[in-house]
Amino acid sequence: MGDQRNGWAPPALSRSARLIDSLGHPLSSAAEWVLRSSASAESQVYWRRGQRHAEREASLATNALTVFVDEGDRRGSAVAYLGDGGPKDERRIADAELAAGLVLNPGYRLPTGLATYPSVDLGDEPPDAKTLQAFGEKVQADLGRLGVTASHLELFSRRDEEVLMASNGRQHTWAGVALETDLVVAGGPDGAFEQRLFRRSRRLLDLLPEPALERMAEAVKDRSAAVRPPSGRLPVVLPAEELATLLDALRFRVSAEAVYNKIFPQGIGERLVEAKGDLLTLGADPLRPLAYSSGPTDESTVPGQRVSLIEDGVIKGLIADPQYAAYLGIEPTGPVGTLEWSPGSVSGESLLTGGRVLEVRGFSASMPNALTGDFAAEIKFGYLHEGGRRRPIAQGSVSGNLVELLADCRLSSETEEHPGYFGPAMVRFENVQVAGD
Amino acid sequence: MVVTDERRLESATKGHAAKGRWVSRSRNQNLLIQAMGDTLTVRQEPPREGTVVRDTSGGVQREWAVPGWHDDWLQAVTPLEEYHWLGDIPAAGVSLKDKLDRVREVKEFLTGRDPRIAQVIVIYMERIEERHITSDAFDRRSEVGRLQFGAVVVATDGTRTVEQFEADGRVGGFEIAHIADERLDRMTEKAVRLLDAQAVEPGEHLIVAAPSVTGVLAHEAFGHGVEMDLFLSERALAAKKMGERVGSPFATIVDDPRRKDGFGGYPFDDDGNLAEMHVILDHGVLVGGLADADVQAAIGASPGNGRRQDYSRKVYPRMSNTFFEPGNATPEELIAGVERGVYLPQFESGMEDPKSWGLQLTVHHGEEIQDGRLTGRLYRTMAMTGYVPDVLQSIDGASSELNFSPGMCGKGWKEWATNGTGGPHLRFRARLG
Repeated sequence: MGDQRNGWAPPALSRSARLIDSLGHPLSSAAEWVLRSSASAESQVYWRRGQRHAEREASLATNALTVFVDEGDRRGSAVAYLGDGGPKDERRIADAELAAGLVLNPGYRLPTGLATYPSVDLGDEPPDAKTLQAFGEKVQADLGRLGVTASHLELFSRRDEEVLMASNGRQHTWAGVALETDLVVAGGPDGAFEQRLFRRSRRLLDLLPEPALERMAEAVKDRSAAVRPPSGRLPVVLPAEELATLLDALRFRVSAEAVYNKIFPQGIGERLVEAKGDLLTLGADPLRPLAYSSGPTDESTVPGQRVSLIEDGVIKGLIADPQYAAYLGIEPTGPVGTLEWSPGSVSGESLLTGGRVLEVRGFSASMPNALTGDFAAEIKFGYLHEGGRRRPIAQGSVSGNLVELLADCRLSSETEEHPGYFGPAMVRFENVQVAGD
Repeated sequence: MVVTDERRLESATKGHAAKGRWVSRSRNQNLLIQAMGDTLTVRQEPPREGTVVRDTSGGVQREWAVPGWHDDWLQAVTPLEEYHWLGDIPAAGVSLKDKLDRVREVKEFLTGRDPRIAQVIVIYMERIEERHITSDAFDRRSEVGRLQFGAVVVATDGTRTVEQFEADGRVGGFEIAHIADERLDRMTEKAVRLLDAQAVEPGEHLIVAAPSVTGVLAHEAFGHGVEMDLFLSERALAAKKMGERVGSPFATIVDDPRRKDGFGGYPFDDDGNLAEMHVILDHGVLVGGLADADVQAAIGASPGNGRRQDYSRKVYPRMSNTFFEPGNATPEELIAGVERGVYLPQFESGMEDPKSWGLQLTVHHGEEIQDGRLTGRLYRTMAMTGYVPDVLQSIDGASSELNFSPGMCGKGWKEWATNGTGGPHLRFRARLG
């Protein structure tokens, strides 16, 4: 059952079990409860212009106890953040139960029966501070060989340990590695131009791979020759990094919460978009090995599983926690994990041909509105392809609506993976509003 | 195992507290109440309570950060200064029931006002930040309450979905949790009108921008660009332009953490230095930047803008309440002086470009101005771009009011800090698309 074998439980699980035992009486008025204990330890190293100027070691620990209170056919929930047990925690639980009784919603329950949690590879041991330092020095040396400078580099390395226990008898423990970097590269005449990259991964070799550094170097070196794009409606090709951000805006659209609240016109079985080009097929996978968004369970004890969300443009499934799953009469799906977008059948290179095509290598910041799908973003850098040649472009902007763009797009056959995204390495959107010269 | 590392870290940290003589304890508590449809959600985020010890000897700033509030780790040698910025009605003293009732009132007011309104969302966000920082030079303790209260209406015509929001937020307490009925009515009416909004014609436009937009202009165009850690990493064009005219005489930009009418105010920063007002742009001339203790040590700049997301993250120079100083006109006078242009009432988001001074704002929507009047024709979400000095030098009018909007600001895509952005109405030229 869970992670218990022959009566032995891992130390972290034992601590959480002891905490719950010590709080037995104060919990007796909760209909159900879930305890999530998290602990992490992180090394952080900071450089500016090649000089290491700061280092930190940080640890965090949280015991989040969600209590569920029922009144008739309605249920409320609230969270108490606990210490190590004792009178203060008893008061916190009492306060949470009181709060839960004030926010009663239509009833639902945690899943019943014991669960088998999938084994997900979330990384082994995190690199320590010395390893991070050596890695950072190497990255900066590699950038120097590419003819550019790291004006700013931060590397974070963290190990997370999680324990989940609940009143439905389910329990699980898991651990993982989380790496993060913020890199700014300067280049061009007098270092006048820069490119910024923020990345996360579970392995050091995936954090700043050589191709990513090469693309940054190419962008800052070509930037001095960049001009603004022409204004008008053009085909626009976006790379995987930007597609990951755009696609994330679809998450809420395919959630049970949004469908239940009738935020959007479409629900299960209905077409999200009438497509002229490649049809949209989207799934969610929390079990991808070493994917940053992977995990074995959600916060309601539902095990992770792959879910089909959209097939050929039609909504087939929804991301649902037990609450909204109960409201819609569907099964809860567990954690979202990585959004997987089925690729197309043509090469990325071919998407850049056929008349004038704007290839955006990166926006300054695109933050599509999750409710409307609208977005407008400045072009940080890209290329205008025409007649087999390409010209660097920068500034100007691209705007539109995500759902409208998905109605006429072509997907590359090559794929790439980024935190929360696995899908086409490039997507060409037709007839997109570009504002430039 | 993490637990073993935690204990080792804690004991190493405690040893350093005595040696380094700078210790910070902090706690951030966030309460979020959201009403959407027939469901009500109360969510408390994990309180980030921790203690940080800092050692700056050896040329590298080293910090050790552990969970827990450890008041006993360093005894103060100066008198305790205390600051309590909790507003007229401290939120901690208001019952959860009263907070829920306030949310429900607004939701009930907005529900059913128009058949095209698909959904109403009301959000109450309360944040209490406690700090106690001790060093050889000071012993300072603060409690700062911040509150943000707002509503979103979602409208649809079966094909398009649009939304409109209204929100207020600043330092204070429960007295902030109120939006006037007239504002809620205007929000609903605007949401329905946005269903017919069209794309703006791309190009340079004469613009009258409301405080919601001008505040983000100050924040993104200049605020980030004068966070002086960027001077040290040679990432800021501003470092080379100090003392130069880069804006019109209407352009004065200030950062002031002492203001409680902005969401980003505080009495002392996360280095323990007292809050000070800093003038960044003085009638168009670039005169100053924002520094933390690290920058102060490096180049002697006046500190007071050191902020961290929570104890687990580093301190960086950050903005607090950043705004354009007001002028003398009225918004109506500014609009009346536009033969053909765009009125921008509401921002969406923005991103900094300290290296090149490129302007990158996303504006929620706009409205056509023709012959000195608003025509009622609305424009969809658009990007505002341009070269910052060009935009600032084109400012030819500022209204006399000063209003702030609440927000959360990142350093790039992380290190989130509360911010107030504000200003008057401004008239200027920029590219929209």
